Amino acid sequence: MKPGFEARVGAFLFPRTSDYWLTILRLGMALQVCFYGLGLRHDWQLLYTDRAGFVTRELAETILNVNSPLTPRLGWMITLGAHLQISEEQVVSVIWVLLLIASCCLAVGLFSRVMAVVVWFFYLSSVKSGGFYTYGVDNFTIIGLFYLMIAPLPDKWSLDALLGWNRTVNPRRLGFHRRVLQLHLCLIYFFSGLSKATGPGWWDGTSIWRALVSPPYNLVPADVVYSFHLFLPAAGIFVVFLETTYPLFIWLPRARGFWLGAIVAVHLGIGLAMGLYLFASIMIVLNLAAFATDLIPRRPRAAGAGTFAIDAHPAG
Amino acid sequence: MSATRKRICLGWLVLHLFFIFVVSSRDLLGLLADGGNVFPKAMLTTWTRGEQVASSALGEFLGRSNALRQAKEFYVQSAGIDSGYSFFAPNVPNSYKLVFEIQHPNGTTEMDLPEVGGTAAGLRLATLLENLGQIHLELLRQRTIEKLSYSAWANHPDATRIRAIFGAVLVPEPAQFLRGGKESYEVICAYDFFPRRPASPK
Repeated sequence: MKPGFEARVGAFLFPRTSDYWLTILRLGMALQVCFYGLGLRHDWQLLYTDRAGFVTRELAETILNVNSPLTPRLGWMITLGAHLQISEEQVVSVIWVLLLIASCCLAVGLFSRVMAVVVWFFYLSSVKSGGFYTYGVDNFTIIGLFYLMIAPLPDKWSLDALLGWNRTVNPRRLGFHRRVLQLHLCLIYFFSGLSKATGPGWWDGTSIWRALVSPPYNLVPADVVYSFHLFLPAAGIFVVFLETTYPLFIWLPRARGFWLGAIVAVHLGIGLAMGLYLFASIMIVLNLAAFATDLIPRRPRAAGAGTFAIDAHPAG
Repeated sequence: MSATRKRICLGWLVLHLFFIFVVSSRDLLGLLADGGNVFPKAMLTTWTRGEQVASSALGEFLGRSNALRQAKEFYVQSAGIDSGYSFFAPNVPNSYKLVFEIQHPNGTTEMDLPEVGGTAAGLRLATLLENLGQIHLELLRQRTIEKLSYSAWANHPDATRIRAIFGAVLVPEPAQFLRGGKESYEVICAYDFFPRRPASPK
């Protein structure tokens, strides 16, 4: 007898899954935040303090306060620091150091759960306090950190596990958390592709051209980009097609490898050609965590048992 | 996993995906309502109406102090799902540039740019300039540019005047590039800043 709709939905949303994907997500997010902090080491004060800053932090936080007074922000910690006679600059520097330490702990998997919360809190605070400076990479990093924070940590490749601090996690719970990430990525790419498809520039190659030659993303000289001008329309259409159909083809076992490889290659290309390294790395991390473990052949269970995917989608 | 736990997870997932879907739809409809896409202009009102429906579905008709709206806002911001995913869409937008013209006491002038310590901050500065290019609050733009000009003051303490010129960078289309077309600069606004004197718009 065929299982009912409810059973099939349950099987899809709560598949048994190993925690390899969680290891990729933990390590990837930790390195991402680490590079974020290190990349801004010379400009941290400039971006986030009122006295030295480009834009008043207070202005960004006032706007944030109108929409969401509960969202974490640096101002909370600065106010607390002021009560303790600690200057704004010192508090902001301490937050930078704590963010780096917490992300290093997360990378090795020490106190994984607590560190995931700490990194999410400090990252979210800094991003929300610097509202005028935020771009796509920050949203995706918050998404990754949010999923990491609520996921069943620690994974078995963490230091916590080596120290025996891990607990048995239901594989269906692991599967559910990964499924949420997978569904979210599908919506991201679908909407990203659809919104590009509405612009004429993505069909005639103009958008690819403009993306590559507009400052500050013009790392490749315009004459080099022009030498490929005949391929630009095809490249634009390929990107639109790849993104819009991602939610379909990424689920098909035969197409998954190609779609995942292609999307990773596109992000790698964006990173190298446009200097958006952090944006490229966060998208690659999220994609690999969501779908890459499906592609790794698993050890045969017994002689002659053949190979099968670690995170295949069993019906049971 | 117990059936109760599964039901809780399912309820959360439905709500979470609902927010992602509606926020992304609102973003997309807002872009379409701005025009510059493949659809006929007659559809602009449809997109605007659609955007309003999506905003209503997100509870934005509620007052800002409404607890439900604040809780929703806290959740979507914490989960990073408060904005859509229409990067470089429907078309790649213009870049913006801020140039400082520094006047010295002897009457000579020189040009300078806002200064940051690394490329990561450079990208954030570009985002800030893009935001400045899109806002319509003149005072906010002026104050922000004034703050940005502080780095120029620091580098040129003897300057008698700093003129901040903000504009859009226009890149040539491929065909124009072939004919020798180069990047150009369209001034949007300019402000003069004097030591210890308020800014005067040009």
